[in-house]
Amino acid sequence: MKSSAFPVMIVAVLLAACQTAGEPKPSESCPGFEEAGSTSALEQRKVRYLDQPDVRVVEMRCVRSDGLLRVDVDIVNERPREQRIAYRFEWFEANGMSVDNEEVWKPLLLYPDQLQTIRTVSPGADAQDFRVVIKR
Amino acid sequence: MRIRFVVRTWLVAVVVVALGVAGGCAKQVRYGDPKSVETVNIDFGSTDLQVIAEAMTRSLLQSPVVGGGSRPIVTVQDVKNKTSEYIDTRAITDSIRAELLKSGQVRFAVDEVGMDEQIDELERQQSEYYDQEQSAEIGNMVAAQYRLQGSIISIVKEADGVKDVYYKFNLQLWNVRNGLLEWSDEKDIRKTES
Repeated sequence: MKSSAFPVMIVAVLLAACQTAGEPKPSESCPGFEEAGSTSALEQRKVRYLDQPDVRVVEMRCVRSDGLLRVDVDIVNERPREQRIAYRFEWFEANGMSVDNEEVWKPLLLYPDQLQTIRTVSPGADAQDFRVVIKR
Repeated sequence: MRIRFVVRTWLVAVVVVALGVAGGCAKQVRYGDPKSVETVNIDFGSTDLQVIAEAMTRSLLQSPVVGGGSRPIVTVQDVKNKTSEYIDTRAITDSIRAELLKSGQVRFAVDEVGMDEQIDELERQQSEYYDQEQSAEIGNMVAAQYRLQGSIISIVKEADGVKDVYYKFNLQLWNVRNGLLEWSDEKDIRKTES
């Protein structure tokens, strides 16, 4: 019994390892990653800065569930003091048309050198792509 | 003759100065961005309303009840204003309802506020002025499976010329049939005036 179970366990472990290796990174799940080719190129496409805020997007993660796109964007305050910024997401349908819902600018206080994750989820199943806009 | 000249000169000068002052004080009107961050004063404002409505809508869309694709029927009840200031909480729930409707994930049954108008219209269609084959029959309204209700509170502190306001908005989705709380979320906002 034990000898027959051992090979099965090995196969199961190998299969699990293959599955983990095959899963895309969260940043690679963001729409437009294939066209961009890299995480930094994706961030250049997806992030707009208005009025030169002293912040930088360091990572972006996307997950799809129940037809909605969940997005995490990590931004870091590059000032050694507090900074007040505002941000919002812009959403697009698969054909590139903008989704009707225009988001409100959300104020955000960043502490010196803070790494802050801003989270959102798409406003509906028709919103397939996004852009994040950050302004001072 | 000389006195009359002096008076006339003074009158002209006063009129010119008055016109100049009035012109200088004329207020300028400009259109603004309705989605911009509004910080005119510390009171509950348009940014607070929109931020709360957006946060609650996005959270609701991820809940198992709404996100499951069953398009539940919901009715909107009161959001109790437990703050010390006047807040039109109906405006918040109206925004949430509009956003949820746009998502296509939720249907809304007529709520308490709209019930009188709904009944009036149904009864009006029963009158002899309407073709009864096309009129809506009484007794076909669809009841809500879930009800949305909530509250907003504030904590206000003031000292040495600094005023701090903390708002907490809480929204809940209750199952009407069994009384279970299916979803709840909160959004808090802090504003400081100095």
